[in-house]
Amino acid sequence: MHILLIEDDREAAAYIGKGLRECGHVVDHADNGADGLEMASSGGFDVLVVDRMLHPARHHIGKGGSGEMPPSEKMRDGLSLVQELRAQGITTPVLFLSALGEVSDRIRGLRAGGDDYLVKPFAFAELQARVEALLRRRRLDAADAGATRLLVGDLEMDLLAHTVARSGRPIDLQPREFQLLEYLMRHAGQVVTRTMLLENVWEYHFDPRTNVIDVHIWRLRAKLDKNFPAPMLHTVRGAGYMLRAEGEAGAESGDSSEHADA
Amino acid sequence: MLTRKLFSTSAFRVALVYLLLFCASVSLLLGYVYWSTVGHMTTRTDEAVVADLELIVEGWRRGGLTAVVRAVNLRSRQPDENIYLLMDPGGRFLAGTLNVRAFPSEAGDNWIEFEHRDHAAADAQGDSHAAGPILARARAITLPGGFRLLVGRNVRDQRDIETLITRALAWSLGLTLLLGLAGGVVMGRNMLRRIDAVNRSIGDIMAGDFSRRLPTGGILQDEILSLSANVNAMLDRIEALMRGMREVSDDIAHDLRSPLNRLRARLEIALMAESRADDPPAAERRQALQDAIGEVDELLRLFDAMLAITRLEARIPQERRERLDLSAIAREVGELYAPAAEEQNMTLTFALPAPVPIHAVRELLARALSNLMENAIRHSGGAAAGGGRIEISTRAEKDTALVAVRDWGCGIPAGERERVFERFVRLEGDASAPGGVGLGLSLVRAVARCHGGEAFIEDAAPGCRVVLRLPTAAENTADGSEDGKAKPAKGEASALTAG
Repeated sequence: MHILLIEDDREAAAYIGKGLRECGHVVDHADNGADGLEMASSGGFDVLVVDRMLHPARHHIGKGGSGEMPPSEKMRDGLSLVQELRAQGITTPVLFLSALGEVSDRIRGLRAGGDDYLVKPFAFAELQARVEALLRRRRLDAADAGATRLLVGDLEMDLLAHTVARSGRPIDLQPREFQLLEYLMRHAGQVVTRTMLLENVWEYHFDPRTNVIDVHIWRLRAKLDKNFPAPMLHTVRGAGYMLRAEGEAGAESGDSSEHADA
Repeated sequence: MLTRKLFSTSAFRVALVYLLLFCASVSLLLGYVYWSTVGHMTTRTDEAVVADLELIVEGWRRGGLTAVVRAVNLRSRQPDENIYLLMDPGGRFLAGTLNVRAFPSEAGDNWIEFEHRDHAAADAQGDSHAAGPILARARAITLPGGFRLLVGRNVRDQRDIETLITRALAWSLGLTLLLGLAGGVVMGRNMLRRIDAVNRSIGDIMAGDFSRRLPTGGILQDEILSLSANVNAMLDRIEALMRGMREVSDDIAHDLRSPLNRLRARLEIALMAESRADDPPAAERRQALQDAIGEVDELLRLFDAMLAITRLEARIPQERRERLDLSAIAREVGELYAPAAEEQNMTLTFALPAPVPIHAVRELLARALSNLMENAIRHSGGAAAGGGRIEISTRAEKDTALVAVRDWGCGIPAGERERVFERFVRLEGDASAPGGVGLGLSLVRAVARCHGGEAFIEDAAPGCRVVLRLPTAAENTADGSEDGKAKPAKGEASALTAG
């Protein structure tokens, strides 16, 4: 998969780039907003990873060229860059990286056209899981927009009737467990981190100290995998969880996350 | 220099304004005194003269010239200040007190004033009375047949009194002005001196002598002294706050240094193992690195909490809040922690009545409640007696909404219930509890306060109850649904149809 990384901190960019390349992605890097916008505008990327706060380009000035560009144009911070991209009709998924972690910052990022928002500092596994989720979403978006049933192996979820069954045997779930499983099924074969679950299922953006999410997963797993020989809900050490049908290897790069213990 | 400075003191200016006002009113008063004495005297004289004149003219009408001459002669013999003169049409003296050969004035029936030195009278009486010339104020009329009659009064004494009064009035006005001005100068200088003393003290304090205080000694309590006392109280408070800040930064230094130090030691040990000849097992190195990352995460969490508390110090503007149901949030957070609590053999009960509407930031409230839940789980975990029990409850009062998390743990001594909200305060025996950095309750209180509320601890032996009190939302139309708010579309990523 082709990823464009727009990040002015070269050291961080090198680290992120290296990590993503090791997971089998092709990574291009732009160290300023103007270059980043130009590269992203050309299309051809599957995911953009954009630092929210980019310092003004030292040497390069964007496509206007003249001296009297508005400050936002010169600054070309990540937010306005993505806004500009969206205005141009480019829908490549964007993952924001930012040191600004307040909910309002996050909302601003998503409003500007970002698809996900990751607060620095982060574990690489977290970044990887989110990039994978965005890649996957890009591929499947069109197909499942209106799906009312989710299927993973022999696990079946009816979104309208709010029922879940495995191999035809109904599984009784609490409302929150249902939401949790829905999220896992929509990201089947991918690593889903605890933070992703907390953000998407509970909509909280803080970091609980205790293992609250784990306990929820254990409960769900007990209901899901009990009485079945092959477990579906796997723990990915150091990263999170993965729902996977028996015998499937998950998404192509899902395996590598098994080794990402950081 | 001093005069200009003096003039620029507000005390002097105020004194000056008062002086002007005072002078104006004194002038008015003196004017009245003048009018009612001098003016009155003149009027009385004139009235008497006119009455006398009319009486004599009346005599003319009844008895002709002889009656007039008799009347004038009769009156002239009276030893008083009255002046009479009767002359025939030829200008010859017929009767009267005035020893003149010519009528004093050509004027007709008018008031006239003239001076006259009456040597004869002076010689005859020989007293000081007639020493000076007479100052006559008189009225003259022409009688039928060309006879001229003048009736008047010597107003010399009256004029002297007038002059006396006028001079006295002028002097008192001048004196008032002078004294007022002098008073203003004295007051202004006095004020200036005291303000200068205050300014000097403030200058010293600004120069770094923070223990210095403004002078407050004085016999009489006045505004400047109470101002100084207030400034001193403010300085005391600032000094206390500065001391508090120093303590906090000491705490931060300690609480950040310790984990940083542990981290460094861990990495160093890992490196030492690396440099040893015998190849350390990869697992050991891996463990060291993993521990290091855990340590860093711990630091980041601490840093995050500190940052959050600092950010929350200001009140959150209304437009950043949304209408929420406190009970729904309490249920949400409670349910998030319920499995974790059950995992530790604790029972979590809910006491959430009807929706409690508030205006708040959901994330912050949830974070505060989650801190309380974690505290409760941590604290009642150790208490073997109660078997571990936690209750999360909400209640709506007049205009406050209350949410409380109660545990049946070891409780908090009464003296410590306020202190535990301070940063980095951990109670005895709590430091060993996993994950306690002493910021949880500080954050809870910061969240309450930035919503215009408060957080406090109530005794609920055994154990305690941490309460968040928040202002309720105005109207009572609860729109906070069970889930608090709708999920944004971004959460619905992609469905999977795997085969």
